[in-house]
Amino acid sequence: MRSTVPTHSFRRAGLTLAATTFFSLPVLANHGGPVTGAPQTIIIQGSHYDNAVGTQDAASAGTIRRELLQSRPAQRPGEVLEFVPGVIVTQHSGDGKANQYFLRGFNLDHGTDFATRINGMPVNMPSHGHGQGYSDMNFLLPELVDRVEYRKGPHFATVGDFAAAGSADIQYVNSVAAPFAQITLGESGYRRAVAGGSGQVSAGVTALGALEVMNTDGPWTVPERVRKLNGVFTLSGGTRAQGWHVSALAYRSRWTATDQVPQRLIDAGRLNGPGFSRSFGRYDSLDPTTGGESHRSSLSGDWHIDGVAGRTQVSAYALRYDLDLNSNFSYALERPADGDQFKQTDKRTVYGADAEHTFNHDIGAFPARTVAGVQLRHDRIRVGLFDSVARRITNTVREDEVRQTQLGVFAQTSLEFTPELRAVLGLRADRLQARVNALTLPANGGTAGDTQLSPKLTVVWAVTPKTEIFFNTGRGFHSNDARGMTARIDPKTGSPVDAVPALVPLTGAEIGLRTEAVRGLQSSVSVWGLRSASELVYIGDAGATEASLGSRRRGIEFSNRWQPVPWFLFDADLAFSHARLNDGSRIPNAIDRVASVAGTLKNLNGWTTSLQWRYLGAGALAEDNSVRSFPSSTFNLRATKALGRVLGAEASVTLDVFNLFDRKVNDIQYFYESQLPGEAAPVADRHVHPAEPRNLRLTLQVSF
Amino acid sequence: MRALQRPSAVVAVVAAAACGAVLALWAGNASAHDSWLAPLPPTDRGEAVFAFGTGNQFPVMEGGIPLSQLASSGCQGEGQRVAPMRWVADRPVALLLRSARPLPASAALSCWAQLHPIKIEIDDATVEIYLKEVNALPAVRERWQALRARGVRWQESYTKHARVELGALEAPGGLTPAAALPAFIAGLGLDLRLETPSPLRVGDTLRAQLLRDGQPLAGQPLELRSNLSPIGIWRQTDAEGRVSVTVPLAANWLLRGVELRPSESQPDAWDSRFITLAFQVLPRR
Repeated sequence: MRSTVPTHSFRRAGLTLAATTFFSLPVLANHGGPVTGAPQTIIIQGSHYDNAVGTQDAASAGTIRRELLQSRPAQRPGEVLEFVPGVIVTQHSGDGKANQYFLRGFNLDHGTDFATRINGMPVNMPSHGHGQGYSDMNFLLPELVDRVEYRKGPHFATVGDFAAAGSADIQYVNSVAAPFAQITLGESGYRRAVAGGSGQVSAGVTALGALEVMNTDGPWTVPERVRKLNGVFTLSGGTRAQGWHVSALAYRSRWTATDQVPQRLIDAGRLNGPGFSRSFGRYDSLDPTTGGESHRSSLSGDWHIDGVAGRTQVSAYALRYDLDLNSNFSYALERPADGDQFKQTDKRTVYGADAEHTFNHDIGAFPARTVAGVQLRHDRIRVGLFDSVARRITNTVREDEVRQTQLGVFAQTSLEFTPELRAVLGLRADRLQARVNALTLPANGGTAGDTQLSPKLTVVWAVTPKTEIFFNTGRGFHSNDARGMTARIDPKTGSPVDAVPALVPLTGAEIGLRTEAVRGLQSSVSVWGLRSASELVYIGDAGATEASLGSRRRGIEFSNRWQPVPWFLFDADLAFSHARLNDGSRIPNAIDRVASVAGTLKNLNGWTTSLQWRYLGAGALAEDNSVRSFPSSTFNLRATKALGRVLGAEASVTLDVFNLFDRKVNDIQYFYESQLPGEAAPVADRHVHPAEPRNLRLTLQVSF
Repeated sequence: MRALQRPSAVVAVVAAAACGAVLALWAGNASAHDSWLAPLPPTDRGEAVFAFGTGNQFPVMEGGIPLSQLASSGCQGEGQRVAPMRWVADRPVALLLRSARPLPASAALSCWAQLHPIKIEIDDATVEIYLKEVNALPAVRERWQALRARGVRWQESYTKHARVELGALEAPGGLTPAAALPAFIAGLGLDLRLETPSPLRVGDTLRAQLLRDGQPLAGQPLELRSNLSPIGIWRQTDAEGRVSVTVPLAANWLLRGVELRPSESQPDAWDSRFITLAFQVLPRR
């Protein structure tokens, strides 16, 4: 937010400023301390972040604003979440697939335990064909993001399923300052074009539209051939007192994936199969036909009224989604002749509605503010797992129809005992009801349901006006795949399996501190812990649910934002975590350390430059910690030059350099058994998906 | 100044600028430093945000106020408890404060701040400019002349008070918001209370009462300034501490005054209380 004082007469601000500057008088009778002579533009706290002391209920919660989002490059749309301190986003397959997210000692496999919403609609997919809570953010249009509100831990009553590790609400703008068009050209056939604009279509109604087209082949030996088409159209109207918003989103993507490959093959540099031998490099593929196709379209709307009785907000959405995903992670382990490729499909419609009311009141002598609401979601899913060859189905492992309804009711009251001490009490009740029609193995069908109450407590003490101490605790949950809730027989082996509960509780606590005692520097420290009753995971790749032991995690997060002068911003986010199963063994793929450090120079002679260091630490790849992943350290650079008016339009050019120092690191690493064509037996090995080498993208943007 | 009461905005601004240029060339004097609360856009959650800064001449803020200088602050809205304002940020020209709670768009709000007293000494030449700027009363000038004749320097302990009125600008359903009468604020050493329901509109008569320690303060000069003109309109409070003036422009306005009286604690010194009241005047319906 930026404002010129005073704010209510922007139209006259220029005249006012000119007049007052002309008539400004020498300072003689000093009744106000030293005069800075600084410009009259006052930047309100939160032009990059809105995490100021007094604005959040946890040291680990905050809001990231558009200005910051625009200052750093993102290789993939999902990397917008990397602005959330402690989050690292990678990819282990093709760019049409959901990302891998790492946070607080979790490998949030495609999104489980991190709840994401975009424009009020949930992104996570329960009972998904590839993985529970699958969170495909490829339909996100970063150019339209207004803000990202994030929170971590199960301490907030307003969020439910998948939010145990954290959650983020990404909100689009309702309008843009001016119509824009941009084209990006990059290495490896990267081409992207985005155009958007907004305007008044009738009295009080604003329309916003944007369209994105993206193609890329990536550095892969088998070209990725991503073909992405993405559109956004919104209508909005009203005021802060009463307003509405409707948005229609549509997205389609097709791609060829290069899945993770065994390290032994990269080390050998040669693939020797039956009757063939060929060289094999970091970017080679073992199955050139993996990849997929995904569609998503949605219609959503919200309405609010903000009156003396409080603020009421109602929203509803409907979305249609389908995914056809072909993967091959073990190559020739199970089916040496045809290969181990398998197809996962997910076709669903989702309907949902949320309503909440927020109001001020008193409890005894204390002022209070309460929000109460209800969230309802219904998924109608057809989901399948198949053996495939070159994307052709050769065998149906299982296919199911799932009807799943989730209802959450919550209330949260913030009670102010003194201006310095407040508490937030919350209670959430969630009910999940699922019906599975197991088309291929009726014995695995049935109904299941579960209910959970999740109490929450937060205490905030403002030690000084610029320093706050937080204590948060609460219970949260994630749902399990509905097919696991009704499963009786392993569809692959035929052996009996135990059904799993629908809702898995997680309990967490956090002590945090946030301070702005040093001018221009905002620092937050959080010490947190999280216990899960069971690491329950539906293994989408295998078509079965595995219940492992309970787990416990703890860690420290240290976040810093330093803006000593308006033109320089320095961020440093460091996170350490410790994750163990209850028997003391390691949780595979739980990363011990992540870091992000960035410096941004803004608007210096038309230049804005940002350099970011991303660090993904090592972690156990096996429960006995015998194999660990290698850390990954990369730098990204963005340099933007404002060109001024070119042919009647404001123009700028941006150079993004990803993996600036061309580090040969991996986006993700796993340890499991696989068998290559020609190998006599399975080999337990590290499997890696390499990070892309240094690559450049050049963007020309014009605003009309 | 009468000509400024009902002209169109453009004519008024041009006239004000012309007058201001002449006055600036002629006067070449100084302004005392007022401190005022200027409304900024609210937070996403709806909390009202203010820039609290000091300037030579409204609306240009030139100097920030350290948080440690803030003695008390608060906001009061319809049906809401009084709650101290919260620190938001330090900026070079202003201290940013916000209301403790989110505020409905349809609600009016009064906020205020009072600073700790500060002692200063002012050289004789500057005192003359200062007294002119605050339109000091004859009694003040006479006492100063007597002190000056004895070679006493101007020693002053000043306390600043600032108040801002946010009128309800919106109401649900496109309705006109109900006019609200700003609340009386207890505890302010010097207070200016609008007696005209806000929001005000062009042509409305502003009525305000000046209170010193809760009691009407008579005979005090007050100046009304806008962000569109360097020209102020002076009025003197009546026996009940009241002033009234017709507001000629849709603008951000500041009603300001400085009360000077002999110090009760230090011989030959002065105690002063600064007061500003910021409010907005909307165009005619």
